[in-house]
Amino acid sequence: MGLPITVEIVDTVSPEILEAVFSYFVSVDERFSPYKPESEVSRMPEALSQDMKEVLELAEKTKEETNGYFDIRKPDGSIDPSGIVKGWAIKNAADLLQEKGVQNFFIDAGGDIQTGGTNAEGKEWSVGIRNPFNKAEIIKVIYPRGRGVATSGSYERGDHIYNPLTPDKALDEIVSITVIGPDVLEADRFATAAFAMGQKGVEFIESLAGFEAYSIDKNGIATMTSNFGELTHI
Amino acid sequence: MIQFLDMKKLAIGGIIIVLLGGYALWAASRSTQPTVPTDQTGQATSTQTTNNPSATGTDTGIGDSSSPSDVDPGQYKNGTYTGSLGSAAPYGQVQVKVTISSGKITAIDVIQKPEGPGTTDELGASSYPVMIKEAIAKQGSHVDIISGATQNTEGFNTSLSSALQQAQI
Repeated sequence: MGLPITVEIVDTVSPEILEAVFSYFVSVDERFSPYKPESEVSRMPEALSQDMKEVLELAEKTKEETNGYFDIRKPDGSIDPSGIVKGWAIKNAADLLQEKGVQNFFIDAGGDIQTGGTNAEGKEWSVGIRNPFNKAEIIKVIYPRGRGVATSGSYERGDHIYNPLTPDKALDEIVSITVIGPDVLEADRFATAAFAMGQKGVEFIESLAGFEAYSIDKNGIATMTSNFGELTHI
Repeated sequence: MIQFLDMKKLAIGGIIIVLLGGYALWAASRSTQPTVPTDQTGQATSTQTTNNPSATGTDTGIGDSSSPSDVDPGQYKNGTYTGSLGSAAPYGQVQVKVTISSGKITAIDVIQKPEGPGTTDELGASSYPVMIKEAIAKQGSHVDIISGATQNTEGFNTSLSSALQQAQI
């Protein structure tokens, strides 16, 4: 996936559990990466595995739910499921941990986060939202309490911030949107779509039950959904 | 009486009330004299929870030339200010609380909004998006996990360490 993955388990568990989680991510990468010629995605439309069917169905469902703003089909007709596989894999890895009896953990893959239970101090996991204009800064601390967190936004290339969806155009109004959803898969797929919607993204999240968002525009003004504030304190 | 309340309040067909909040305040401060609320109800209270004490006292701003960090610190007095009731006739009244920290708007809370028959509450939460705006501001760095679109965590950690070193007294 080309992104850092952090798994932290607070409970005392066998090291094999951690290995199993990382092995799972490696296997997902090998099967779903469009950049690997031997991956299942690259070899499509050969017979699809159950997992691939599930991912494609999720992508189609998300496309419908977001009025087409989420679409894994690229203009050239090929498919890049990365936008949904990341959240899906983190959720499955978290389920794997919970099946093994792990209660207190987090998994962070490139800023998309699933937490469970509490941190080593027995407190709620705290998640910082990074300042898109200054990556050394955190501009908001939230306590997801077992919910999933995902941020979609512009990327830094040197001093320049650009929208990965339209890299050659001037920066859109919105540079970053963080979505908190029932789990990381839900947060991730709607964060991607909400960012593509621009200024309407946060309104879209507001309309979804069980979701909150914190959206930042190019002037450094944040707009948050009406119940977002409840996540900012323990 | 607080002038900016009127600017902040938009009743769209009586269904959606959007508080322009911080942006309106900020915009007002740029085009006119600062409209600092006069009926202060609290003493200077910083609501920016800086978890890492070593990071206090430094303000690196937001790092963007068009950001609100351009607004001179001190345009607003630190504190928590409760606005007077603004009318959202015929549906009721709106009241907000504004928190100023380091001279900047750090939070706007809606403490009263229209309720009852004919208001959007009756129509369901989804039809009543009271979305709040605020100027983003640094909020400490001691967290368990970080979510953001910048994927270079190594660079982030390096930068954070150097920033914190500078922040140390």
